[in-house]
Amino acid sequence: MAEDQSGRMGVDKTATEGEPARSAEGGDGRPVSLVTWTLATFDTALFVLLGILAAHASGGLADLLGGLNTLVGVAVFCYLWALFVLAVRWVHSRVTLGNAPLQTLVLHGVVAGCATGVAFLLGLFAVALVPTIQSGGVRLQAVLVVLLIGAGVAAVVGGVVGLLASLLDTAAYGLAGYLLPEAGNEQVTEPRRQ
Amino acid sequence: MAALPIRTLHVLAMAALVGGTTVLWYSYRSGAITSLVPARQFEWLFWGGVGVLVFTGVGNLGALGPPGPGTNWGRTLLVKLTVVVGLVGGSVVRTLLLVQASDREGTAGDLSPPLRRTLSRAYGATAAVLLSIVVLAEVLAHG
Repeated sequence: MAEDQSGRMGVDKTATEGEPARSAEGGDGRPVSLVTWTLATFDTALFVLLGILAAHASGGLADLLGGLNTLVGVAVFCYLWALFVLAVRWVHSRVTLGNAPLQTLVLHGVVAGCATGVAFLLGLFAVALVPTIQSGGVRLQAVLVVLLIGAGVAAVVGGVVGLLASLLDTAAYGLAGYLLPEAGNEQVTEPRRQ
Repeated sequence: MAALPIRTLHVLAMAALVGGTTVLWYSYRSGAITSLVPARQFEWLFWGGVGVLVFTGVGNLGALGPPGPGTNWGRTLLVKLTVVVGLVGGSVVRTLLLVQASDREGTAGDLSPPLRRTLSRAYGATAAVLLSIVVLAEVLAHG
């Protein structure tokens, strides 16, 4: 987060209040910062791994994966990964990890999670159902009703995932700060104590 | 048809992560690297590799058709998945520690010995966990 923090020191005060940080996401010219890339991949990987772990522990993994084409699975994962990157990037453009109050961060995480859940569902619907609708295999009204209900469920699930992810990310950031050894040169803080 | 490329990608990603973390562990330990720049660059690759490992791993499982958790193979898979979750959780703390160190000390300057020791330990632990995952994968592949 050198690009996050050092590039944003001037905007942190506003960013922590929930206003958008105006600086570029990646200070080194990248579209995303290392923190965004790390946390988005961490959240995505953990989300998938815990799902696989739960499915395997309950004995349903073979059935779950049996009907999944490998390339489709890869495409779905990459789509989910991209959505997580966009969601984390959006959160970090508005609040700074480590400086913002937990409540603000969690709120942004929930909103981003809801949007990600709905976008994920819409993406799947677009790929799976649009060709069927075009060929006249399914009635449009029925699809819209299912889509509406599905979007509600996806928003709730996404919100819960966003809530848990933002709590986990904050905990990891706090733990990293705790494990970071004291600076050798403490003179930055010494004069303030006088 | 896609099973072989997926498996190849899985092995290559693992090789990159094991190699990278081992080199960084040894380099910070021996003092061959005295800045944070190489570690920061590697972290981009590391997390890309983690993503690739997860989706290719799931692809491999789909191709294999895993037996239930009651079998020996299933129990080993359960252990492997748990270790992978631990690896991902530990690695996010390591990367965020590196980022906070960069914020505090800059990326170009020489590292303090305690920070170099911490990074060496972090990459050493990551490499050790990655190697244990390789062993578990070997058990799963060959029994």
